[in-house]
Order: sequence, then C-alpha cells, then structure tokens
Amino acid sequence: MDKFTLITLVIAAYLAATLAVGLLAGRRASKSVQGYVAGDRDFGLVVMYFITGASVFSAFAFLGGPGWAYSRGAAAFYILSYGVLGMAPWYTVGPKVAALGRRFGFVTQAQLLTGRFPSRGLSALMAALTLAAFVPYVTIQIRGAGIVIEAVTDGRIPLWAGAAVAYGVVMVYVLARGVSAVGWTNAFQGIFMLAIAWTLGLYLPSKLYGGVGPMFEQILSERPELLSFPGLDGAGAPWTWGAYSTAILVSAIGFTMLPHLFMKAFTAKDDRTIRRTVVLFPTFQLFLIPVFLIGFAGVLFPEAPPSADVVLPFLVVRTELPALVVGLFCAGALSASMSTGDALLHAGASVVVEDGVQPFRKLSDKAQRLLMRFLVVGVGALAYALALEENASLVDLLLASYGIVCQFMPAVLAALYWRRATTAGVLWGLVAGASTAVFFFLNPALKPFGVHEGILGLLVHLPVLAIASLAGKPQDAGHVEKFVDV
Amino acid sequence: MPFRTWGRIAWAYHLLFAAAVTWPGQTLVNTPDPFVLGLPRQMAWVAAWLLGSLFLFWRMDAARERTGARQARRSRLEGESPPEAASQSKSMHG
Repeated sequence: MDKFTLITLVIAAYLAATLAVGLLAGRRASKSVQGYVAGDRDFGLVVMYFITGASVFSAFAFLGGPGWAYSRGAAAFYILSYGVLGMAPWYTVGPKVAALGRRFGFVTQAQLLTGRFPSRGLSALMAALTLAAFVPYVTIQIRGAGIVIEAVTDGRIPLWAGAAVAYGVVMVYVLARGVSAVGWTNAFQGIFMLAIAWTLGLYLPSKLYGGVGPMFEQILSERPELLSFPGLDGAGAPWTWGAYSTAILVSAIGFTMLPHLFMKAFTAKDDRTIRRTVVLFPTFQLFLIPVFLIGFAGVLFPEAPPSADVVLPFLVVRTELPALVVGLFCAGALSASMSTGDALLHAGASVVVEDGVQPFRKLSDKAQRLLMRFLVVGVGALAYALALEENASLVDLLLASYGIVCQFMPAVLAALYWRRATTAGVLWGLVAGASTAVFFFLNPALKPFGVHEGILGLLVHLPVLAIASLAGKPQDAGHVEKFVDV
Repeated sequence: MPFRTWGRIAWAYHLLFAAAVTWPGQTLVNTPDPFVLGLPRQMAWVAAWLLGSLFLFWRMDAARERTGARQARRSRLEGESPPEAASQSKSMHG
C-alpha cells in the first residue's frame, strides 16, 4: 500500500470513529430545546473538561500557535498566558451563571442578560455580535482542517475538499445529536490531540536538533530576535509591548465570554463539575507547550513552508515520518479543528434562534430545533465559503473575534453583580464598546501604542455603561435581587 | 487554611500572574538564557505561573470541599438539611 493511500485510510478511519461517537452520544437526551442546546444539564467532569480544553486546543492553537512561534517567535507566548487568567474568575462566576440557568431555564448568554435587562434589542444585538465573532472563528477551524488534509496528502486532496469532508462529518453529528455529540466527540478528540501534540513536540526537536535545549541554543545563536520579548509582528519587525500585553488581556477577557464556552455552564451537571473544570484547566495550557516546540523546530529547517500556518504539517511531511504517524498527526490536527468548530456551529445556531428570533416571534419547541439545524448548515456554509478565500493568519482572525466578544464582559458582570445597572446602560455600553472596537479594527493605524481594539472598546464601554446606568431610573429591587443575590 | 483564605490568595496570585506576563512585569524576565529544562527562560516563566495556578486551584477547591463537608456534618448533627444550595453558590470569597 502506498503512503498516500495509508494516510487517507487513517484519516477516513478517524472521521468514521468521530462520526460514530457523535451519533451514539446523546441518544437518551430529551427531544427538546433544552436537550439539544444544554444537554439536559447533565454533563459530568470528563466531558466538561474536554469541552473546555477544546476551546484552547483549536485549529488556532494547533496550527496558528506553531505558525506564530515559527514566524513571530516569543510573541506566541501570549497564547500560553491568557487562558488561565480568563478562566480563573469562572470558579466564582460559572456556578452563579449555572444557578440562574437552572432557576430561570436559560440556555444562552443573552437570555441571562435579557432576564436581568429586559430588552429585545439587547437580545438581537447579542445575537448579531455573537454571529459576527463566530463566523471568523468557525472559518479558522474549517480552513485549518482543509490546510492539514491538503498538506499531508501533498495536495492530492485540495483544501476545499478536505474541509468539506471534515465539516460534513461535523454537520451530521451536530444536526443529529446537538450538544451531547459536541461534548462526547470533544472528549474523544481531546485524547487524540494531546497524544499527538506531545509526541511531535518532543520528537521533532529531537530529530532535527538533538533535543529541545539544543534547538533553542541554535535559534538563540542564529535568530536571537525570535527569543526576545515581545517577539515580532506580522511583517517581521519588533512587536510592541502594548500589542503583546493587550493581546493577553483581550483574550483573557474574551475567553470566558465566548458564547460557546459560556453556554456550557448551563450544561454542567452541578456546580462542583464547573469548579473542578476550572481547577484542571491549567493542565490544558501546559499541554500547549509542545505545540510551540513544533513551531520553533521549523525556524532553522532548511526549507520554508508556503505560509506560517502550515509549518506543522509541512514539517511532518518533510521529516519523512512513517505514513501511519502522518495519518495520526492529521487526525490529531483535525480533532483540534473539529472539536472547536462543532461547538461553535452548535452555539452559533442556538444563539441566533434563541436570542435573535424567539424574542420577536415565538416558535414551538420543534420549530426551534428545526431552525437551529438549518442555521448550523447556514453558518457552516458561510464560514466554509470564507475559509476558501481567507488570507489573514489564523491567530489574527481569532484576535479579531475576541475584540468583539470581550465587549460582553461588562454586561455580564453588571447583570450578576451591579445592582444599579440598567437596561439602557448595558445597551448603550455594548453599542459604544462594539462600535469602538470595530472602528479601530478597520483603522489599525489609529490604535495608540498598538493597543488591541477590544481593550480600546472596553475603555469606552465601561464609562458609557456606568454613566447611562446612573443617569437612569434604578431597576426594581425585587427583580435585581433574583440575579445578584444568588 | 480555610477556604476563604485560599480564595483571597488565589485572587491575589492571578492578579500578580497578569502583571507578571504583561508589560512591565514581563520585562523582569526578558532574556531567554539561562534555559530552564531546555526552555527559554521567558517560556519557563509562564509555565511556572501556570503550575502555580494549578496548585492554588487544587488547594482552594480541596479547602472548599472540606468546608462543605464540615457544614453538612454540623447540619446533620443539628438535625437540619445540609446547606447545599448556600455552599454551592457562595463565591470564592465565601
């Protein structure tokens, strides 16, 4: 059997196994919106751990992370830093969100917000912003899947076909089983990703340089600029401290506000499960270290990959690993892409129906589930089209998403902790923050000190929220108590 | 050490963590050498903060469990139902 056939067979076996796990999961879940969106609030620690981990180990980390280490050096370390900082407050906030979900039947972030701040406009705005943030994020995942398959098959399966097959599988199990399929496939894929990341992360530096230490010694001697903080920017010039530091802050804030992660608080079996997920979360950040080692292994490699994002598959193919190992690597990288993409597609469709449609036109439970399934296909198709055209780096796409998503943070904290917050304050704050972020995203030359547009948005958002809230009439104390005193 | 104290330590630690990996904190560890376990010092610096976080979360959660178990025992002795809801919804500050 030739190498290409064996690699294709391994990929096919992996996709079949993922499909089987996805379809077998959730057979006992109720045929309701709560079953499809929140898994009947019955996820245990193993599934919650891997769902959270999948949000770290996405195509962004698995391909974009090594890509940044390869092309921008120490700048990539920001990816190591932000996850735990973002997750730490979740130890407190997560159980509170879950308790409110159980009490009021919330299954989305916007339902929680509009529960405290009744406004159909706020609900629609949240749905629109979520979709605006999710589309580039799903695009990253789909493109990542296509890149990997194209690279390991040496172009025999082009990006468009590889991405279509991988995400065809995702569509089938998300459409059939909803969040239960997302949870259990994430657990299955998580094991794959970790095994592959560690194996390659230690193997490649060892094969190419004689070990991790010797690799960094050679890089320090020949490309010292890559190991000097804060690394390089996309053009190869030194990055600014403002951009590096605010990339960490905006990602930390945006991380737990990502609707697909936030909504998982509604799926957890109990508060203890949420807390333990937070306790174990730093392990996933540590698991990222070998991913960066792979990127650094490419720095002094005699040949250069066509783009930084493909450095990982490029090295795997060029170092003449056995075909079985290349196939397994591909399965690991596909796991990273699919485990995040499925959660995003599912959450995106759920948010649009629950927050963008339901407040304006009440649908039956059955109609909601049907519309969600249509939207899974619609959002997936849109992201797929963008994935074929997109030229931006995977990490840049994700940072753009975080700029929007981090604007949810003040509204969520105000809903849970600030008695004096009002609907008008939250609405104006969101509009002002998101508009500012979009303005600076479109005009990057105007950003002071390279500060991320999400942080600039927050600098406008917070005072607008505070002033507009204090200027208005306070909410009824009895209503506020139901949210703040949980 | 009681849960409340662990909670305060955890908050302080993560604020320090944020300061240590952004400007100007990260400038304290801005050179790659000496290498630590083969890794550039800046990378090992971030990894060390992550390990510290894992340890603190683990200790804090264990303290929380002990506090919850003690409350449940006391409630049983006093013939009340355990304060499950209260203990679950309390924040890190107790």
